[in-house]
Amino acid sequence: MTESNETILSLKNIKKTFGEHQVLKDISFDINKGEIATIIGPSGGGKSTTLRCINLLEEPTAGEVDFHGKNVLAPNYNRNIYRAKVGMVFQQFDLFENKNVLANCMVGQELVLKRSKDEARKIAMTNLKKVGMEQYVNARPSQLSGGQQQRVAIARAISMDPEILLFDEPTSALDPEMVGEVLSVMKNLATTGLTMIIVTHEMAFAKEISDQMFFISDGVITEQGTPDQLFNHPQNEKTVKFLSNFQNN
Amino acid sequence: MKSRYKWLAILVALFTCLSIATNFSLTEADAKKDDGTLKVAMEANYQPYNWTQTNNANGAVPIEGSKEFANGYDVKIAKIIGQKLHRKVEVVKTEWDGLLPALTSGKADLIIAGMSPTAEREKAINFSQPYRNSTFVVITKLNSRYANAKKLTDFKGAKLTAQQGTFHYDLIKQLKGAKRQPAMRDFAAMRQSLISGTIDGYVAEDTESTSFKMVDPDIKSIPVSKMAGFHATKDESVTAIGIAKPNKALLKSVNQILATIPEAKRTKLMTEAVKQQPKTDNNKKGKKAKSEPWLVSMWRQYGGMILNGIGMTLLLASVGTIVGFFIGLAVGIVRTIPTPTTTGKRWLLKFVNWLLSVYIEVFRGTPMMVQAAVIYYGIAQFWHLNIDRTVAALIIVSINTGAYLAEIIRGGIISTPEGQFEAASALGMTHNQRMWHIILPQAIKNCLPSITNEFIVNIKDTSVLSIISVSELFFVGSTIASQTFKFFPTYLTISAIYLALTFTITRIFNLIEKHLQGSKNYNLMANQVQVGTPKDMEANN
Repeated sequence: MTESNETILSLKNIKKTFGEHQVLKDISFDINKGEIATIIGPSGGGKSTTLRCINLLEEPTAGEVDFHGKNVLAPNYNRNIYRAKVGMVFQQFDLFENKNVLANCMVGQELVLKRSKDEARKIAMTNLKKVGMEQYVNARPSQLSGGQQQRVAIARAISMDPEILLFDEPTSALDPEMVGEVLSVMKNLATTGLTMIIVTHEMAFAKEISDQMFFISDGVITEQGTPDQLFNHPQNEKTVKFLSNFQNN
Repeated sequence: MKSRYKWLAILVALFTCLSIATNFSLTEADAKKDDGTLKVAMEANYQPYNWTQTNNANGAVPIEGSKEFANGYDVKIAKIIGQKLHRKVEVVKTEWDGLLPALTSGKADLIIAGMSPTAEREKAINFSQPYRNSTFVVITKLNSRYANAKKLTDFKGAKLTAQQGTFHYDLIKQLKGAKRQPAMRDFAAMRQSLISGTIDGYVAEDTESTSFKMVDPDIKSIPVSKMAGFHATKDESVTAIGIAKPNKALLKSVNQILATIPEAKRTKLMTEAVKQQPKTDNNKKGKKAKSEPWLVSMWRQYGGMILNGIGMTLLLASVGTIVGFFIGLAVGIVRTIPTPTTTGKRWLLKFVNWLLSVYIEVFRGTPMMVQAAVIYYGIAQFWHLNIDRTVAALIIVSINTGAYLAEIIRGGIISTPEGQFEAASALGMTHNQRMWHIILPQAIKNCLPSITNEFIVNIKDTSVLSIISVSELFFVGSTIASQTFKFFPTYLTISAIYLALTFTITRIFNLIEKHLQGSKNYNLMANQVQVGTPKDMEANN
């Protein structure tokens, strides 16, 4: 958890409406290089939408997303290059069904980063080894368990050498016995100095790993701070109520 | 992954080559367009005026775009005209309803097809002086209760028919009380109907009865021309040569040539034709023919024709499906482009999408048979572009298949999970990269059963292209049936061939599908040996 004071990403007054429904009312926060940030909060509160607005899977209705001080929503900003630098791990893994494990980790490198086949393969293998999936390079996604697929998805994302890695509830779709293997991979990643923003319901994990935590509810950040501040001294009554549900965990 | 597609591609390529190879000599012949030839349109299926045979015996002339030959009274007349004009005669084999369009669109120079110069036809084309006078008969079975009819009213209650689009059919109205049945496509069908008893008789010319009697002595022809109250204009009781209206010079020389053929010579030619016309085996050859199974003798006589027909059907179906697939792919991709941000592009895309949906609606919403007729004859008539009929058929099947596959592929793209788009976007891929590397391979794989289905449909549905006289399997089948009068066995054989084709293709595609599907479980031990390159193995250790 090496943290510097260099702000790598900042969200400024992000708003997002779907039709009549305003999902994000006003979200602003800064993420420093090397920081591990987690977003928690009730379902439907806007956690995932916030994350999806960061890498532009959703187009914010208003506001700014600044990457190294430049607004990525500006018309002439190259979004594909930005997206390559901001990796994403999905709840449903979303491995490419038409490609095997190795190809899943190589295709982005070759097409977007224009790496040679050999280089891409080497990097993919290194990262598959990191997540303990090097034995499955020729397997197709449908042949793997959920936990294995998610580990491959992480290897795919880090093979792009991203500056920030986003996790959208990475363990929510997993059977309980597979949650551990994915969380331990994420913990290992956290030690490498990679900037990570994680939406999760795993409170113990969040408490252990986070430098900074955000509690998002009804489209606004109702509370933010260190894990100690949120878990031990919550100020907002929504936070108190939400966390009380996890007391027994 | 790649090797799988390679495998598929090789298979498809092989298949196409095979079917092209069988048709190669044929398309080559089509490519040679010699202006010196005199193109004569006829059914080549109306004995003794004209018929199809597999060799050039008795001075038969080649049929354009095939390895077959035509002969008959019409051909003999055509040859005299060709000789005088110093032009080589070539027959353009065309269905009866396609004769006039073939002439007006310039695909043929003359119609010599036992056609009468009716007033209606004279609106569209010019006719020469008659080259044969004929009398009308009603043909019935010897044991029919109408066999002894003496006057027009004696046919009361008889189920009578005649060839579709001929004035013979109108003549039935003069036989008071006769029940007029739906008109039939050709004489072969009428003969078969008469023998099987679905009709009591049909109206035709005397020559038809002469030639029918040669193959079946149990029929009787009752001349009606001389019966009291019977009326047929001179135009109707003669046959003449059709010539396109603008071609006045040709009309003049044809008339001059016809004037040099005396009546005696005409009768001689007709007698010759009646003698030379193809016969069913069991009639004349007697013992020898009977000892040989029908299938064997048919194969000996028509085997080459059938093989060519199979080749043509496979060529049409495979080229049609492959080209149609690419059309469908292109259309499917365009129709799923996300709405662009700039207004100009948005309107352009909207317009293109509108055009594409018109294309799909038109070609899915009309029968391929009609499309074939409209495109083949329409283009020739209005733009004076004479496309080769095989090329025309290929274009029609491809466009038609494209319209169906466009929707199938669009469905495949839409049904690919949203997560696949998102994961690709999150890696920074462009729209094109997402489509080509991630979405389309999955969409096409999911569409494979539907594409197979379309291929099977094409094998069968190309039979409707017989309307523009493409000699595919069905066209060959109907030619054989009408010459041998063995309707049931011929069509049974043809359907067995169709079934064998579709069955084989289904199996092949099932194998491909299975191959693409792979196994459900990943065997770690079995797959370990395949892990990457030696370099990777080093990295692992």
